Amino acid sequence: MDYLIEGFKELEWQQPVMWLIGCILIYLAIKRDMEPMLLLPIGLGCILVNMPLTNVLTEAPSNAFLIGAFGDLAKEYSFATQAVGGEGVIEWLFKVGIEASEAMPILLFIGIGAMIDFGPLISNPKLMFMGAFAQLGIFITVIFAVLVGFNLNDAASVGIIGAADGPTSILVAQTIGAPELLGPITIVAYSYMALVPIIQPPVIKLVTTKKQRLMRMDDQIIKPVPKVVKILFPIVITIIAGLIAPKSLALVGFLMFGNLLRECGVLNQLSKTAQNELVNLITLLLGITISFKMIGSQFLTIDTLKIVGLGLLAFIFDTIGGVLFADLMNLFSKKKINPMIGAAGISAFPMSARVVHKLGRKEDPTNYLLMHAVGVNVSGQVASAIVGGLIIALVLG
Amino acid sequence: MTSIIGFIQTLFASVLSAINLDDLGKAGEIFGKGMLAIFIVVALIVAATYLLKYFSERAQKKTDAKKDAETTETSDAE
Repeated sequence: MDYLIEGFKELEWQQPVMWLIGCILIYLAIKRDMEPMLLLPIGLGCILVNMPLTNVLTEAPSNAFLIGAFGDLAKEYSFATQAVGGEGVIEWLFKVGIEASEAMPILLFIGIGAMIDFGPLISNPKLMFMGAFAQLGIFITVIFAVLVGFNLNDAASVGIIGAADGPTSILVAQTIGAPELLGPITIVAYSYMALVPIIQPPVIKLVTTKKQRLMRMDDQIIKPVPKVVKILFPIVITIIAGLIAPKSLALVGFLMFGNLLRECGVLNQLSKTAQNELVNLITLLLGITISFKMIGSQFLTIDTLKIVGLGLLAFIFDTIGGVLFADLMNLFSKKKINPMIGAAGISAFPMSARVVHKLGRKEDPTNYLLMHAVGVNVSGQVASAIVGGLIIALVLG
Repeated sequence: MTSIIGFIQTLFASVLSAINLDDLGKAGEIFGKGMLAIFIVVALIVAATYLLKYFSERAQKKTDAKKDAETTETSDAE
């Protein structure tokens, strides 16, 4: 009967702790509606990969079970040892979907690109500078990560949490960081993205005055953008990003591909598929695949706690970077910008834009900042993908 | 007072020795190069976008002018 309690005998203390973490993630996903599309699969995956002797990871189940049931007979006929070293389904998904070519996060970008309307940004292109400076938190966090003991590669993978974009964080962390950090980085990135409505408002209030928050942008009308410009825009961005930041092209190129599907007007079926079925399918698999990196012995370390703190720092400095750059632009611009919209340069689309708009309406219920904030928000999406590629290029030299 | 300063110096030295100064320097370099690079890329994208809008508006004005001319001709003929 020993074979029935083999699982209990192999249990380590980290595993029940990870079950608890998995349950917390599931609770946050369901009850608090925090990024449920990712946190729920990650939460359940976390429980799956922290069960001993299962076939979701490397060892097949028949090994211990058959040895326990048939003893020396199993070893003699070798059928209990064949599966040792074979991949379980989650490990296979990870090796194929992420490790091989970072396919899952990159393909997800097609769907994200198909969802984005660049109209508000094209109508007022200078908003894109705020999206660029809202990536400040990434670079500042790299420095702080080195200060707390991470090596440069790991520090850069932690810093990319500031991109506030799951696929970018996964791609960069997988390319340059230590493999055991991928799990905590992903969890922290998605968790803080869900917490943007809590993190950003106090930071915005800290770096702006009431007078600034009341600034109106009614004189800056968002004009309709000609269709030909909306079609050429993703092509132009692809070429520029590809030439200057070639390591970013996997992300930027697929983002723009998705956008071109949307804007060309002749591929509505594909655009709808990209926005719905493709995104849903990949998100479903991505969550459970990432849980491969949530094995207790690798996840429950001091480094994970450091990553939690550094991730928060990244989001705070992103917000500050965007807002302060908007202030700087106001020194040279005749048409003044409400500096709060700079905070929407964080790539958490569209949540950050909504947070800024809500904050603006709290100060003045007649102040409508949403479309301007959306313009900055989508520029942050592009800028974060470009910065992801830049980080890879700068770290790998 | 001397002992306090000495303590602070020792603390500072121990913190510095725990930090990989080489990596810190590289992180600073990445900060500078990264922010400059994203600024340049975005500046180029912004410039390209303004150009796209300019040529698109110019083409639209030509098309509108042509349509107006045709409309005027038609009404003159009538």
